[in-house]
Amino acid sequence: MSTVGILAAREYMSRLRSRGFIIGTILGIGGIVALSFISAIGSWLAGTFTTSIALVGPDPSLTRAIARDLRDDYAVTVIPVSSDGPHLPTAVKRDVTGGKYDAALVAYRDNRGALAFSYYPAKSASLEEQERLRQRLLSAVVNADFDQRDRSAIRRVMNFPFVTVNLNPRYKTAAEAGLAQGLVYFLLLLLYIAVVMYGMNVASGVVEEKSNRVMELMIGAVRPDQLLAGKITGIGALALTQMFTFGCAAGVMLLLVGLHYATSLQSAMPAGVMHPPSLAIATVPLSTIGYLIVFFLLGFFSYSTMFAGVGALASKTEDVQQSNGLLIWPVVVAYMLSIFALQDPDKPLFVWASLVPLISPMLMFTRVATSSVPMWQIAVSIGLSLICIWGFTLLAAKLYRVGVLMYGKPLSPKEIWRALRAPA
Amino acid sequence: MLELNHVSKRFGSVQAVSDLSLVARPGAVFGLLGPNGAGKTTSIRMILDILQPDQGEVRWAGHRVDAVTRRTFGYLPEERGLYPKDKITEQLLFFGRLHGMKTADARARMQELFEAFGLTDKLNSKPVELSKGNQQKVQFIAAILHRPPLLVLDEPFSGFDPINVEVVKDAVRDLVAAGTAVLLSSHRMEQVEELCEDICIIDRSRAVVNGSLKEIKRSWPDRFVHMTQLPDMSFLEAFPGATVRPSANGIAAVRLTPQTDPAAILRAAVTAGPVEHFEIVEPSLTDIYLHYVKPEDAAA
Repeated sequence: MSTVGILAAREYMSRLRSRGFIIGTILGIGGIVALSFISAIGSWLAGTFTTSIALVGPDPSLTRAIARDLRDDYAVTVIPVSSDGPHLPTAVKRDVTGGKYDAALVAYRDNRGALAFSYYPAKSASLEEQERLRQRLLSAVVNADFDQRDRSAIRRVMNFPFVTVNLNPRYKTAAEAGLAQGLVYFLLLLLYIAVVMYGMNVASGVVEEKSNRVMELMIGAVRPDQLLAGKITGIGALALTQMFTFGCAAGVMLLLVGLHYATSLQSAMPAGVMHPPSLAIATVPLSTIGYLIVFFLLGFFSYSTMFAGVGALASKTEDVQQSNGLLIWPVVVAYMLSIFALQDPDKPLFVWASLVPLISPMLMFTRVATSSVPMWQIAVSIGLSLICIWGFTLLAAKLYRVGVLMYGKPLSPKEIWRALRAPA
Repeated sequence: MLELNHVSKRFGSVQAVSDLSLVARPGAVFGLLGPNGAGKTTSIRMILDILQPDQGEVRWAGHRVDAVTRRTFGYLPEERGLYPKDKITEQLLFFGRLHGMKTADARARMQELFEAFGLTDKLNSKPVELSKGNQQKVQFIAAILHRPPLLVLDEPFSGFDPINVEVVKDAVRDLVAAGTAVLLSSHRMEQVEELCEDICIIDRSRAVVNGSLKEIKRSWPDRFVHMTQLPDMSFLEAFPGATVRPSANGIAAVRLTPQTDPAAILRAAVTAGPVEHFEIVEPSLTDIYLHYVKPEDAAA
């Protein structure tokens, strides 16, 4: 095995066995499992927080009809009292303020004989909540106050045809594009965390070796650029291992949850209704996964070479944290741009920014995953990133050569510049 | 054979090493001495190809030292450490492989050295579980595991108790007997004197004395006498240039000019008090060192 291989293998194995990595991986898998059950958790939570309503209506049959329309979203209790106006019967008010119900709804006929409602929530209701209730009651009003012919006309008007046909050949429907955006959002977050976390790992690894003086022993056997290459390769392989583990966990959960949906819910859904999200993830094109790996590697190597240079110049972990704070900015900018680009990935600003190294790994990934990017743009973006990595590696190797055996106070910019210009 | 030919190195406005030349022979220990900041560590780093000289060259076995050659060298740095949480055996195998050893060879050699250093019960330990002395032994083993033809030791005895100092000295002697060239940098004069055949004292980036220790002592112009420390040593005032350095064990080290006859000193001393011990000796390495390195240099 080559020297770099030996260094990378040590870096990889010792970190793989570390408690931090094992706990992080287990927590990550736990998060993926939890996400897989998010819809189940969502409905459980929805059940827990369903608003209970005491319903007072003008006559028993109409009250029952209203209750039927509300039952999907509210826990409705029909109060056997007939209303004769908007006011709330005292006994019901007492129950609401006493906490038996979250709210009361009084349905009554107004002066013109039209169906009207008064809503009495125990706590102040948001506009959104009021609007939701109005929407639910619309159907009750149509049923109560219009004859059969008018009802059909009203329903037709309310559900006029509206179809989105996406001209982006990548996605056939808006729903598919929306799902891809959701998925890319998730993958972006993963990319962001991985690049930042593993990039910083490189810097802190260098400082650790400096602070416990192992560096001194190693520098007698290997060149600084070999040390740099070994460290970055080992940590990069570790990051890929963790992402692969997460990918496998996600795959298994998709299969399990997907099968469950396929057998229970899917058959009950009318055609054209959006798939449950977990099934949509299963339709991710392989090319997206391929681009994720390519852009992760480009992002990791761009940032980790920078972080390694910083680590070589620092003596203490605190110094590294300070410098890392500055280096993180390009990642944050790239992340923010990518989030905006999800809405309109082919805007000129995003097209040009997606070619810029340090930003491109995230932004170009967002674009290729959500739009049809011309091949030349992908090639330029990858090419420029590779040139940037090459430059950073040369720079980091130089900083490594002068910095790994320096201790004490952090170097001033002038000293760093002098060190970079020195032959060795 | 290690050769430094007119090697110089400058960092900005600081001249770290000026025109240094030396030769370290296989099967011998070469002592590199000097006060802190004199240029010893920079010289060692140039020998190990960590730093490139601005002028001059470093050669091993007649060839310029490069990455391949330096991989065969052994190096025990002054400030050294291990990965605190990794098993020492794994770390030693790692260092052995970095020096080009096969895993099986490294394992066998490690066993052999663990026995020699009395560490066989520590095979599965981590550095955090070892005493400082045992950690130092492991670091020493890391430096010699691959049987280096050139071993560079920078303050190898720091952190060792007297028993372990002897263990390390024996190990160095064994390596020398097997033909290893050893370059030893240390402030412990008595150990350098005991082990080194050749020395070089560097002061303010320059070599101030360089060559065979025996020759340096033999050609030393001043004479030295070790004698009983008398309550009144004022009889020495009759001998121009004579200086005395008292010591705690009741023996005074007296330095004489080349013109002074030691027999005359003895006669004068006997009249001044009871003299139980009187010995004409060669200059010690400390005497030589103090002659060349002034106190203001050492403080630098």
